[in-house]
Amino acid sequence: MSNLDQSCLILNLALALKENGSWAGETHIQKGGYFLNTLLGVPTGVSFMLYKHGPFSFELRELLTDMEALGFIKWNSIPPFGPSISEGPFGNQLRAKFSTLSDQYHRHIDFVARHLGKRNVASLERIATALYVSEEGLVGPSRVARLIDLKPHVDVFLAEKAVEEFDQIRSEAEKEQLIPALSSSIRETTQTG
Amino acid sequence: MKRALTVSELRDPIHGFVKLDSDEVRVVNSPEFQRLRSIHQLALTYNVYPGATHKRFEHCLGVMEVASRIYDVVTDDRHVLDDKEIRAIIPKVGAFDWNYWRRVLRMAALCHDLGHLPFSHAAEDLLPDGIAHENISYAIILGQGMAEVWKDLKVQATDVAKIAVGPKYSPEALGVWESILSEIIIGDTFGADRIDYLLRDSYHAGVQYGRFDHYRLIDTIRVLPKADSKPPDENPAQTAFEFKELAAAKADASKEPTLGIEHGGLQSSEALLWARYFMWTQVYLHHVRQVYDLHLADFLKTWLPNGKFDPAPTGHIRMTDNEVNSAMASACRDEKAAGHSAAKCVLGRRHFRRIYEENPKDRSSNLQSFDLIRAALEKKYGAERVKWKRIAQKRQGKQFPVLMSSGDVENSINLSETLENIPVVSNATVFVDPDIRDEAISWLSTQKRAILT
Repeated sequence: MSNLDQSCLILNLALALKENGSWAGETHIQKGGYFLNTLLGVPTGVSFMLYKHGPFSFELRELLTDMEALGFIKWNSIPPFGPSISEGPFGNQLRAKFSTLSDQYHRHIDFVARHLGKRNVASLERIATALYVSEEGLVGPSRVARLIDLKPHVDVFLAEKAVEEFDQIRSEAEKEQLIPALSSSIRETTQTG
Repeated sequence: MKRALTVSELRDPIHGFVKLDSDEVRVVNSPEFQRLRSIHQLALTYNVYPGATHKRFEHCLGVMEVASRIYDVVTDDRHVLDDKEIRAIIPKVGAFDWNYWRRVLRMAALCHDLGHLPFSHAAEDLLPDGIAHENISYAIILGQGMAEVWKDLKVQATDVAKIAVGPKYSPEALGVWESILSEIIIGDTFGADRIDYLLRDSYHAGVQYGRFDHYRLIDTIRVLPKADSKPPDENPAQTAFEFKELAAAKADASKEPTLGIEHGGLQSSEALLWARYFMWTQVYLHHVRQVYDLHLADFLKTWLPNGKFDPAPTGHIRMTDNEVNSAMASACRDEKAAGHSAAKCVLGRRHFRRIYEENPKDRSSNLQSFDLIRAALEKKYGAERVKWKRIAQKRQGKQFPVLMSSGDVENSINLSETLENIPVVSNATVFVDPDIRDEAISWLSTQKRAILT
């Protein structure tokens, strides 16, 4: 996968999030990227780790800086919101010529944008952490306790809600056959074992 | 009976004095740290800016000094935000954990560059795949060589190592407070590393670009919740249950703590980021400096066993700029020596010359203009007579929280058009053998249009 294919994928994710109600700040791109990468198995080319309260990718942050340097994206101030990504002067050319990867995964991008676009930052952080604790192998209510462990400022009600909403999203992704087969089978083993 | 601690004072052209107690001086006196006296901070930049001969040694002392100042400011109780989570993570001044983490921070700042290779970043690509100098720093801090020192200082080596290299390179996860401490040293915007190197590199290169009011800036740094949020929509017709959710969501905007500033420091932070921009464009990306890095890398590939540096700490600390310079000097004098032509490029001023730089006009006609032109030149003149380099800032750090006098926390870009519009610096350049430079310029001028279509 070339760096330009990777950049096009992330640009398309940002634009899809915007079409679905997001102002596409960095948190939306980070958590959207995390869902694409980890839940839906899309080869984003970046890795995520636990940082402060939840999953984060330094490589994705560096890619966004690179994309800004190359004119694929720009950041705009939209008070009172946080800064928003929009397409830069060379974004159109990028999407016209390097969209192979994005085209292959457009259904996955649309899915993530539909489910995450309208959420605010706090909700995104909680639900991304719900995915993270599920990937740790935890199941059921133990995920709630772990989520609170990672995010001590979150109360039980919101933690439970985040886990429920994540399960709903995962279930819909499975119905739409967007989750790679291997991930599904690992989850089944975890739930019954 | 434990001996009393004494204080050593080191004069520093940037910070005036850097002070260490006698336990901390043991870290400075260790072979691992003394090695930094022989690692140039800016690689071969002294071939362009003759004064830029400063070393990682004094830079690391400077980083420790700045990090300590930032720590004292952010932990000052008058500066701690009245927020439950932030108050919970910041230790009280004078308490045991405040003293402990201050010492860990100072040592992490001092040791954060121990893993640097000869000539610093110029040689970074010659480590085995998957290894960066930060991994070597981590290993050295945890190594046997420094174990006794940490024991006497009563700090955990893993705490020093994690904070020195940060979450990206630490094999152990960092907690929230540890992440903040790491930001104090290597953070994208207000890191002590950045503050020191801009001031120091500017001073030694003899340019004014890197100067900014760091005193004012440091005085306004705070731990704040990240400002990347949107107020939730409100609908008065919703049910009581939904009001509970709304109220919870409103009160629960992102709480992730990070380094930011009080509003009074906004202009100093603009100056910092513009200083960085100018230092990058005028010094770090100077085309002659860039090509010297390439020639150095070529020499090292022929001179090092298997063309790679040994990342193990024992081999690492025996390798400094002195060994490389000595080997290059010998190779330069002997036409039959491996690496002779690369050494001659460096020491004989036979470096390759800039012939093409990536630019928006050519990119408009073809997004891959740089790669096409580079490939065409290599095909015409041979790969051994053409070199190229692409480099960009990896992290800019212009988005950070700002505490307003009202108590609200805003994103910096919403408050400053200056910050919003600072460009990310990047550059891609093709260089050619000086013997073919004029011919290649002439050839490219006639062929460029065909190459790009």
